[in-house]
Amino acid sequence: MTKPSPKAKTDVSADIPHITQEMYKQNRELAERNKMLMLLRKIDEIVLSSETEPHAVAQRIVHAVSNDGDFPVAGIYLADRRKTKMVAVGISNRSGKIAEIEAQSKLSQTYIGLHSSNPATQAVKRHKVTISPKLLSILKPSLKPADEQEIAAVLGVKNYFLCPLESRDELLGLMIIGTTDKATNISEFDHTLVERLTGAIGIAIDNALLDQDLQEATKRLRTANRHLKELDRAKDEFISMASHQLRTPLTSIKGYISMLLEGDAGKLEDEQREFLNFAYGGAQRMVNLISDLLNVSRMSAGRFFIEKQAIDLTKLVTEEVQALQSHAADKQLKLVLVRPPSPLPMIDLDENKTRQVIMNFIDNAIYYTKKGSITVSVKKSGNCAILMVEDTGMGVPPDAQKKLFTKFFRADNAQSARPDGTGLGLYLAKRVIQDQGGTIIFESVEGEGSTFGFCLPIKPGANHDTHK
Amino acid sequence: MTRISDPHDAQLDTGETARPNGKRIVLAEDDPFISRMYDTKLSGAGYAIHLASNGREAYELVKTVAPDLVMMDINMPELTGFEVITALKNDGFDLKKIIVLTNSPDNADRDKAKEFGVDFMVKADMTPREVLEKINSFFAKS
Repeated sequence: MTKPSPKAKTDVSADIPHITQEMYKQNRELAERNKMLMLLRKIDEIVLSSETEPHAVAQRIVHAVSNDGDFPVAGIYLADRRKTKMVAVGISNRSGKIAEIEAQSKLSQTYIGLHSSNPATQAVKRHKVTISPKLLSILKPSLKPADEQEIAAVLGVKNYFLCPLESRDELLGLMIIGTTDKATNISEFDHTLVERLTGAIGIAIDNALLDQDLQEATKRLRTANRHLKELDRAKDEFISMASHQLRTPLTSIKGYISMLLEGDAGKLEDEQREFLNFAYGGAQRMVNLISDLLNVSRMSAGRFFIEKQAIDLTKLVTEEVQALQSHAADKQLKLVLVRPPSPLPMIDLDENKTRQVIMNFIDNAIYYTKKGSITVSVKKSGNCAILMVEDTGMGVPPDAQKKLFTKFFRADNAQSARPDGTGLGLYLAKRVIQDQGGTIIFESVEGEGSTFGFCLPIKPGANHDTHK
Repeated sequence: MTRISDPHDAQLDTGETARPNGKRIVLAEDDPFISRMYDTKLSGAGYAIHLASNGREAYELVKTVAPDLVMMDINMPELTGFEVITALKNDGFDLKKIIVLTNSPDNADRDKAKEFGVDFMVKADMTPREVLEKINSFFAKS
């Protein structure tokens, strides 16, 4: 609209009705555009709000549509999985009058059956907003004719927009918006408004449903995770409990056998002694096995701790070599200890765990060596106390060498030589040595022999504390 | 139930060389098999063993016997070993005369023994002879 020039003054009076009409039209268009933008913004706000429960989202949307869109009634129906039926999840009308609320409430129990004669089915198939006056056939058979008449009378609805709610090529539901206009009177603006809203609301509902799925999946995962954790804890507690309980009878078994062997119940025949030695060896293996199990369960429970005290490593190794001497002799193997040329200083170590590592190395060497010798040596190298157990045994196949120190792993040749091994010894050994700041030594040639050992740091300044 | 075993009887049973050294040891242990095991070994070596099978008995026995050494199991009915030790400490008993026995490989018992300043041994890790050696060296030192 341009400002009229003075020359055209005479024409102005004739133009007034036209200008008024134009202004009125533009005003209306502005108001309509304003209304549309406001409604779309409201839908956006609902999408962005923290409320994500699909029913609540639908309820807020229909409330905004009926009130801000100025429609007598609006409802959202959500499709079931098979897309054959849609159930009312949110119904709203623009006023708060009791009669209107009552009429509207008739819709809240209704559903849409998507059979071919239903106008809603047409809208869904065409993927387009469709107008129909036949509420009864849309909601058949869930709406009674009397209720339809009541809705028409109280709310003054003459026609219904049937708006398929879709997102990502999927039908989610249907929005029904009532209008008081006759079919021929429905404005182009209202039609556009409803179409625009339908698109935005489809996305809003999709978001809510996705969020609900996600929350349900998260909830299921959390529950499953909690169950797994409980199971894992129960398993650890069981292992720990069982190990403790097993130790008590083992103390008696080992104790009494050793007393028999020591002659506390009288002299023994050679064969009696031999058999009792077997029994004692078995009991001792069981003690070690339980120790391994307990340590692994402690590791998985995060309760595996190194407890250091000043230890004479040479003495520790000597004791273990002595303890296993008869075991080696049974297999006609030479078990040789090579002591350090000069005494080693005391080292801060976890005595029991380090002892178990040494015992494990020597025990393995005896098990996996058919003939030859096992040489155990202790020496100092720089700031490092080195223990090595060299055998002339079967060795570790190249492909098994990388996995040798992993939990439960056993090389094929070891498995066939000793089927009852647990695959825990070396796994624990690595952990025990690394947790004390040391390094595992391992070299092997299949068929020729292996060297297992460790290098543990000697603390600086510990040299004056030399043992004998 | 307390029982004072006669070292001479035990000596006949075991055939060990008698060393009646007159040292009195209270052995508090609720497991009868372990109790008899240590009793046999230590009696055989000439120690006078006084047996208690629960914490309360252990406490009363220490009061009446005035032992030279107490071997105290931790997991016992009535009173735990540490409860008895606490009571004995309050009575002014010399805690250096106590060796704690446990079967728990966990460090909790060892740490607690350290707190009290009492000696400690894990039963499953030692044969009766090693226990006897430990007791002998205890008396050799004191």
